[in-house]
Amino acid sequence: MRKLNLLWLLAPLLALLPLAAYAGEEPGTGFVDSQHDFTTSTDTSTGTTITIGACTRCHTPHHAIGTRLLWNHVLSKNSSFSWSDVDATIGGTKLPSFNNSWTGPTKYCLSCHDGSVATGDVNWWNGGGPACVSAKGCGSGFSSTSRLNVAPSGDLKGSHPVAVPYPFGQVKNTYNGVTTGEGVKATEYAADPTADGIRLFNDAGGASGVLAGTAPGATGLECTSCHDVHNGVGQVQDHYLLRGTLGGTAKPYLCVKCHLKP
Amino acid sequence: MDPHETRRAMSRARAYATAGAGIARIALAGLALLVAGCATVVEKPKFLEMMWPEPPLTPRIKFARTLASELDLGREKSVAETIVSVVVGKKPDVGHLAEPMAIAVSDDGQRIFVSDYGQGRIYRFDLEQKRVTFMGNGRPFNYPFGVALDAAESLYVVEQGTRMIRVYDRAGNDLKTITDSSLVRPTGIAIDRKRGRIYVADPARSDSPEHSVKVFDLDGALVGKIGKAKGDCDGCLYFPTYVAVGPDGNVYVTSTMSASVNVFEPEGKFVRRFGERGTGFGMFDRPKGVAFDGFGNLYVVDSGWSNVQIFNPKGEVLLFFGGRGSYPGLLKNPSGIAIDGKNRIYVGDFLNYRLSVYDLVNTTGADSFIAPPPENSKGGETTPRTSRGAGTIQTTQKEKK
Repeated sequence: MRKLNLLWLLAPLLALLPLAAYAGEEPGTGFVDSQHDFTTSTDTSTGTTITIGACTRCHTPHHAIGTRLLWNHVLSKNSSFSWSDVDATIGGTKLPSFNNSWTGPTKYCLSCHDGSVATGDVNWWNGGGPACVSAKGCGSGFSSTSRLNVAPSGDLKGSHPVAVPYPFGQVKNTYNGVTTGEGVKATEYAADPTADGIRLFNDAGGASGVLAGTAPGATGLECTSCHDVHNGVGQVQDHYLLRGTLGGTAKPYLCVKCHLKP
Repeated sequence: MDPHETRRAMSRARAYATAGAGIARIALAGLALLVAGCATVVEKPKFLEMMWPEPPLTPRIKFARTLASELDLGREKSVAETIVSVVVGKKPDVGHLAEPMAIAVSDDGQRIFVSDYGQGRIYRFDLEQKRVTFMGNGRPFNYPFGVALDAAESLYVVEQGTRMIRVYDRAGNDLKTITDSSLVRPTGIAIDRKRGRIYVADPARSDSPEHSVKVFDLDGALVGKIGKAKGDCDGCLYFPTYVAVGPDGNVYVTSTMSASVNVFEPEGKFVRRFGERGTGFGMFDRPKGVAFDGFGNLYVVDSGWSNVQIFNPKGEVLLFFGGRGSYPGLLKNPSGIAIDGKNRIYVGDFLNYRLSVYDLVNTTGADSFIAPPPENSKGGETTPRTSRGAGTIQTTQKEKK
């Protein structure tokens, strides 16, 4: 009976344990122990602690010493891989001018959040059929006018597009090969939400690609517009690494930082 | 303009013209003129053929084609289909890949199965009939991921959302489902036809210890797990995403977040690990899909470097192909890979919404062990740092599937 009472006393604490394990450290307190800190993940069944530099899971360091390719030994031994788009063939022939898309930070997110390493389906949203954020890059068969419906359940997963234009300045913008559609009421969007901590990007085009910061007529959204993957100072959600709160009706409620719904 | 887009535009133009003729025959001349008027002649741009390496060296990999929808198969719409679409106003369900994550190809190379994670579909490209159909008997899949074919060409689909493997016979009929309570978030799948084993990669979640490969028999019973532990040591797995069976029967697993490929014997004993995080040849950023060609060379897709690296059976890096970009032959965040019996290579090109298809050419089995070029500069390595385990991978000529 005594044991039973003790269990009842401990029950609330036990119930909180999974949450505590998932939440990590406090929001806005930095990268260490946040959702993307893989250095302290511990295998509870074996006690194996993963020890590797905190940054290098995602930011792959360059390697000074290279090996040679047995089938292409002409290539310099110093050749190395990168995340940049290539503009020439391996033999140096310049490629024809071609659609340059997905050059912003979203490409890094989607290298894990494609359903393989981590939950995916952020590239896709409910449009009632095949849709594509880049009409130029997707070919025929896709609807060139994407229908960006929010999921009926209210869950934004699978419904909120990335690498698309933001109606910066409450006018049409072109970004990642997409221009703000006619169905977007530009006046229902904050002219410049960066003042409230939202991060916007501009598409300089060509080799420059996407750069941080806004530019009239060429501003867009990436995953990192609303998520701070490093859990930096000012964050309010550690789990979702958001640049705003999930609840409420006024700022810092995340949605109203961009969406003006009078 | 994308040359493939141009080709598709011309194909559509021809289809429209055909439609116009058909409708004229049923006395809808005015409508026919209207439809035929949509036809536009687009000059075909010069297409730059992508190959690796480029002459004067011997090209080994040549870009062949793109596959994304039925329009890429070259089938023109029949008159009946056109009449239905014009009269009823119904657009044909063309289907265009959006999130290709894994690929399986039939032994004869004529049927290609592709999972589309976002659309919840399994595409079936039939090269003979020039048609795209969808598996599942009209039922959408709940986040489909890995796909594999057994000797009878039954299709095994890893359905991540329900944590089960759905199996369909060659005709597309439901056969069975396979699952186990230990599956957390299954992804890639491979079948060892000789041993009757099914390997399912399970990267689980960051707060789960279940980072392993689950092994099932063909009846669907869990017979074991592969992987020492969740982690970064030899034989440990950290977010294992894709798996392949080598011609030696060993199991090759991409441990994506430890940027390496771990090799195990069929019974789970660790053999070796190769690759490490880095920017050099033979190194990885986000290794994903793995597959073998007919000579026992291993192909590793890298979602970060947007390329595919080829390793010989000794683990030496032979070549990479691809590179980040949209031009046909380049890749953006590629995912899965499959290679058919004729060494045609299919790569899931995730952010380009397509399959990129390549051919291994001018190559024999002996070329896998080509002598390294003479050392002509300082500091070069002719032996890649690929081995952390003991010994070399023992492989034989790949069995004809």
